[in-house]
Amino acid sequence: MKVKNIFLYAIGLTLVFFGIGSQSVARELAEGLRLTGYLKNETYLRLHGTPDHVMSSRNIVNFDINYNFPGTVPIVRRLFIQLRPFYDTVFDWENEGTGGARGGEIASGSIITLPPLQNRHIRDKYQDNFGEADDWDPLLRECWMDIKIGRKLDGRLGRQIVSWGRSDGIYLLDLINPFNYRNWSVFDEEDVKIPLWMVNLTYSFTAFNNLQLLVIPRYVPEYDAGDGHDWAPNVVRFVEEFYADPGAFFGLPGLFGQASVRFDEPDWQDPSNWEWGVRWGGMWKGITYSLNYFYTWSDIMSDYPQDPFGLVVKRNPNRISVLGGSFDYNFQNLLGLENLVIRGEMAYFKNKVFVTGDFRNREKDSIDYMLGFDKYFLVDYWVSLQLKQSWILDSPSWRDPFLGVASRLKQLLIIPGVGTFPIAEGFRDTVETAISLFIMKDYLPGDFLHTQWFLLWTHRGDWWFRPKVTYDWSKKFRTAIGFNFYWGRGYNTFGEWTKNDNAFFEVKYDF
Amino acid sequence: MKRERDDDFISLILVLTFCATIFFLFIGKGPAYAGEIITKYMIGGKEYKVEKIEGEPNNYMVYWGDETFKWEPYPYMQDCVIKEGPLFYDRWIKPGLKYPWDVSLEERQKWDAADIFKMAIYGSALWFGSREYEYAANHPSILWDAKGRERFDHRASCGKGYFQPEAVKSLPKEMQGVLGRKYFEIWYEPDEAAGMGLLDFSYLDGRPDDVWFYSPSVRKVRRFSEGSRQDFLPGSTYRNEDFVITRPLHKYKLIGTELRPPRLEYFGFPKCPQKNWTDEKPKRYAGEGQPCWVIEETPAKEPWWFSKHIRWINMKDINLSLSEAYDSKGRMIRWMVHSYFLPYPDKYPLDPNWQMWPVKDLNTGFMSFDPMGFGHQPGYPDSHFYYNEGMPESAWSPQELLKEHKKPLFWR
Repeated sequence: MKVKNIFLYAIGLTLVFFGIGSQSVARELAEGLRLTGYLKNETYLRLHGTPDHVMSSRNIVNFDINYNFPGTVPIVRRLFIQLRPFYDTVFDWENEGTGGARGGEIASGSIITLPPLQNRHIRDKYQDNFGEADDWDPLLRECWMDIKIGRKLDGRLGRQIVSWGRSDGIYLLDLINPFNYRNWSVFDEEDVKIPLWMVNLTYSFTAFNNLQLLVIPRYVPEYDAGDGHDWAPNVVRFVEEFYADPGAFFGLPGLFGQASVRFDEPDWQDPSNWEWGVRWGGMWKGITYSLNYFYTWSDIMSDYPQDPFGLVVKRNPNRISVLGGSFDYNFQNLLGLENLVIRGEMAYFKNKVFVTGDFRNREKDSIDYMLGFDKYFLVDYWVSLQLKQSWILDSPSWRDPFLGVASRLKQLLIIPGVGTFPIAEGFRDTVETAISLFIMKDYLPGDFLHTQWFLLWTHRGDWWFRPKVTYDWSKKFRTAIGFNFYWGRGYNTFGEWTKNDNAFFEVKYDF
Repeated sequence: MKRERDDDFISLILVLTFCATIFFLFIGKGPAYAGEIITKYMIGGKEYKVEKIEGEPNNYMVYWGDETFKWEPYPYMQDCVIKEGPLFYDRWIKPGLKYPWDVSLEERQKWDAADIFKMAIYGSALWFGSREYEYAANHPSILWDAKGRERFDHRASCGKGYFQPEAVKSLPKEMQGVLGRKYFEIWYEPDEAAGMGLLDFSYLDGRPDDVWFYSPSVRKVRRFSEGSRQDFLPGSTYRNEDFVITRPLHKYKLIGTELRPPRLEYFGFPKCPQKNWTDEKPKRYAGEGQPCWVIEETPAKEPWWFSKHIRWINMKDINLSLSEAYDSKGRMIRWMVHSYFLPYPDKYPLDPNWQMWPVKDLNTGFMSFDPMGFGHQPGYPDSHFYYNEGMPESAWSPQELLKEHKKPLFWR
């Protein structure tokens, strides 16, 4: 029934979009003032377990309002506002998974059986972004003003996304904006990065040499789904379950009630809590490079128990310094490969927090680096290969550095419906490696058919494979179909999403 | 006696008249049109002559060696072209001109095929070699499928060549004589592409182009590897080697010289197949009936998208004029008309820019063209063209791509 509904819905939506017609809505509202946007539906369908299980079906409306100030107005050049409300109809359709969690209900026959205490507010939280979701999936997505002072100083003030990295799919220097991991299948950076309010100034010494300053007053953490959401990671579920009833993990359910978690976010009104970064960009002998420094907070907040049993917990981010750089260069011929672009990023993290298997927070320095190789093969296949490694410095051992956990704790780490969580392996190794392959090719005269293939492998044996095909029916209307497949052990970063292998469909109409 | 002398005189007159008639009828034949010769000179080793046609005030006869061509004005031609007729092209052969026309007609005949092709790219409207300033424009790029259904995008572009002394001086020392061209492109429509930007630096020493590409979906500028030269420019039937990444790539052979055949049926005349474009707009010229080198281009590497590419290059303005590509079986697989326009014929009488360059892929029936500077056309974004509007060198920067500019003169 549900699959049929999906297709009927998609057909209906398509008819509506075609019915709107191909004529543009008047978009030049006034001199310099322009409104554009799109209507989009993204539907994710789980491929395992219950075959017709819709994971989400988001209807999104995006409005971009752009105003170019006349040249007579000093300093201010442009104003941009992006509004992106959405409504996820999965809560109206589905009785399973995320859709089944309708505040107080316990879904039957689902993969995850949710304790009542965790089954709260999930619909309110994820159905739209008029409430809590505005923090990580904001309604007012971007709102900034471009300024120009003199000939060399440019600024962008307001809520925006800034990218420092040079990679796709795996990120290293892209530290400025935190990531929204509500759906681990979402790939487009613009959709997974959370825009931040910031001051972004760039002074251009020459066309290629410039100095950028970022000041970000308000801290926003990375977002992971919770509350029994389809995309709630194991570690989040475990923590939520533990805090819901700590006594249960000591064999004394209900004894202590719920843990008390106190969020201690940095007060943005205190400038000493602000994040700030400096980036020098330059070009030397054809190599474009950058040197970066970012004084920031950790994207993930750490939990600091205030008592021996973890009944009172303070959750706060930690201060980190990041010093890094990036480069790219276009080789005419390297080892027989013509027209090869090599790019790289490197970052030294000072005082990054790692969680050990016994749930202690350890501050360690680490070095991450990424190398990417881009080239066209067979005329028009664009191929990008990336290697990323992360090294924890001064680690106690090469592998499984976080050992020595009391055996009693080992058996407590059982996530219902998932299995045993072997904490003896810790949350990461001293050296973590990931390799990705990204291929793009367009087909048909006019390049109306676009294909993308993304493959990621991690040293823990995890895989993520994401093929996607998009067809442009007209310059305003396009559809896409794709898949996300995950392999690996159930407690690894991507392996745990094996249960969430999915097919996704997109319908988009620009106006 | 007097009567005998009179008879002799009359006989002499008759004989002379008869002989003169014979002479003019059969020996001293005058031209078929007894029009006024308005120019005559040698070009390519052959006499080139233009005559007015009596009774046809705007038409001309063009002669070049054994060839003749009747030059007629067409509604799509710019006013200055209609006004001057075939003499319009003579502005590029006067002495004392700037690069690339500083080379005399005689010296140009000493070029080999590769030299000719190189000059047609560097010196001309493709690499802007004749200018010391930039151009900027916003225009649609139109694609028709085999049934004439149309899609277009809307983009802005800027380009600058670094051949003229003033332009070269503006470069850092290590780049003088090395960097040949800078090109900038920003997409305004469709919305899926809006904000995308491309910055391309082309070099004279054979190194690959430096290409930076910005995508709004990732908010970052990426160094892009030079696309395969034979790949299509996205969303069009142009190939990369036609436009963005063009320098002599293949083998070139001069196979002849001839007046450029009109090929009017290819596009735009006598009847434009798409109702939004008339036979008049946008204004342009394409060198019909002008003396051309005919060059055969064969791929440096096999296989390539063509097996043989015939190129007509105008000897006077040293621009590509017509291209016809063939596959290995000798079938034509693509034609391209290289039309141009003078955006400012009074202020910049020597500096053309490409106009439209309609190109049809005969395998698929798809056709692309980029009309520029036509002002207003219902159903399309307005198109404007600018020369020398003071674009600073600092604007040729990947940083500018991040700003997703919304107007061609974005530096103002």
